[in-house]
Amino acid sequence: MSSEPRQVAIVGIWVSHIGHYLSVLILYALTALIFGAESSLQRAFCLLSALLHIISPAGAFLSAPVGESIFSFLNFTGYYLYLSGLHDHSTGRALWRDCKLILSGIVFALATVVRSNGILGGMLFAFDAVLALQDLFFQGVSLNRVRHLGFIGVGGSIVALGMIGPQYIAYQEFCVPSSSPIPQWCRNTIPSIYGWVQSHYW
Amino acid sequence: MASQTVYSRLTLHPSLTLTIAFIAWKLLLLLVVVSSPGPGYDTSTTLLLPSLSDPHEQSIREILRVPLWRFVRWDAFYFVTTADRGYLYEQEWAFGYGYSALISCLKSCTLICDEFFLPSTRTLGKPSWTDF
Repeated sequence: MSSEPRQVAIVGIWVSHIGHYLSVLILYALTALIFGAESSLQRAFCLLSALLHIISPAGAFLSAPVGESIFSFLNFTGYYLYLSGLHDHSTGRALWRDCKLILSGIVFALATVVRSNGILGGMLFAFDAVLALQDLFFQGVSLNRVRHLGFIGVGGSIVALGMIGPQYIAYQEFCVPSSSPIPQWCRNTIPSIYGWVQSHYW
Repeated sequence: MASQTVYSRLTLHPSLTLTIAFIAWKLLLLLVVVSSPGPGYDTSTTLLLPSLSDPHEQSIREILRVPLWRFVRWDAFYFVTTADRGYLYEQEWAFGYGYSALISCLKSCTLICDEFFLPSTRTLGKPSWTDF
């Protein structure tokens, strides 16, 4: 594969712009989902929230070939899907709820592969898992409750895969025995390249 | 009142309002980046020099004058090098695998597209659709 930094930079800038634009639109939709968009005042609130994201202090970082804007888009979309699923849960539409739980997990996992603090989206799943367990204990075991807890667990695990995946690839590259010496972080209890790199280089 | 109509128009067509605001802000940012003077605090972009095929760009002064390269600084430098040649050094792994993989994939697609649709473009020296 030839080296083409100019092509890479141009493609990266395009992708970042598209990512930021989509991120703005999805933030509008997300705000509307949470706070409603019926009254004029509500719509103005949603519009303001999206406008503020346009002039975000991240500035040129949302235009440059970096992962920030794509991450922003994926993260907001993950939240949107999850909250949409919560809405389905409260209106009794279990199938939609479960589908959105999984879809949201996949989108958060993609966000985590782009930027590792996407893992924080997993907190939604963790919180709901606790609530679902509470339901199970105090309101009795039922198929729907067990299924709900199951899908939360699967969704949350998918998000975790987004964190583990790239690190597994790095592990295969550095730690699997080859002719070059094995770095010391491979011998840690959790051989995480992220942890090592952050503490050693930054 | 005129301000009332403007207000209601803005809120009734959010996608349009947001699109216009987005384009306006991006143009402003572009203007700021392009007109920023000097080589900048971070000159790591110049490390890309050996891999540039265009002889016109192969001096430090030239590379820092072209607006495109002003975006390839700080973290962007890491993302561009990993998307270009894959991960090599340990510290590069701090920069999201997903974004580099996506850009690398798209770069291959654009190169293939160039070959397919405009095979004589590069040899004739005419600009292709991805040229700035």
